[in-house]
Amino acid sequence: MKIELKKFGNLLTSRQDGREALAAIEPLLLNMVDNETLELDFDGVITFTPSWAD
Amino acid sequence: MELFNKDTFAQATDWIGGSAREPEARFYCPTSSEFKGRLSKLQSDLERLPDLIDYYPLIVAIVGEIGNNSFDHNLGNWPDISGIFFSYDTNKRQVALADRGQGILRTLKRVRPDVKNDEDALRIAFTEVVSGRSPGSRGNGLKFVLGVVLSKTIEINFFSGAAMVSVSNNNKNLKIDKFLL
Repeated sequence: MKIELKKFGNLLTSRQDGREALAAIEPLLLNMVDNETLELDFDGVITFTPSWAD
Repeated sequence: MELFNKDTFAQATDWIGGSAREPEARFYCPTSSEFKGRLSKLQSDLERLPDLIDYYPLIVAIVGEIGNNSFDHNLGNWPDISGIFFSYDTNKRQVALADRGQGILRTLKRVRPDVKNDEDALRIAFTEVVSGRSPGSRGNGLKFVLGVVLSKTIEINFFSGAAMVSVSNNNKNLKIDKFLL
């Protein structure tokens, strides 16, 4: 499964925004099957911080 | 690019040292949403500077970390004026962030009652993975800021309470001193 992080914007900075992003993709994550690879595509993202990532 | 009559740092200092009032509207981010909007503008403005093209996202990232920390750690507990002062001058290559929050010492004491003073709090905040909002996966934002500053031509002066941290790529040290505004 590939998730394009640019769909959340090109400025990914706050913990709150990261939490909202996780909530948005959680249904997709829950539908992953065993041994399925999760790919995070950072193309188009300019700024990315530890708070958003956490 | 807009030029400030008064140094942007002096304006931030005036605000936090003065009486409880909102800063000028052009510098005021009352909520994290406004801050994010202005941070996005900073990103666009820095993107146009040829000498910063290789690492302007890192500058935006550390400004974002520091600014969002103000909102995260004072949510529901602002002593008087909520929100932050956020100003930058691309000609002078300066960014100023300020808040009238609780300070790092108070927030860290919630999880580290042994923290002695503002200098101790700043040292812990910049060097240890700990957060006043534990538990949870958090507490590494200022470590990230320190790492970026030490790797690029950036100087940071960070004040909280009666202490100040100075770090630059030149001195490669975390210098913590008593400081009163």
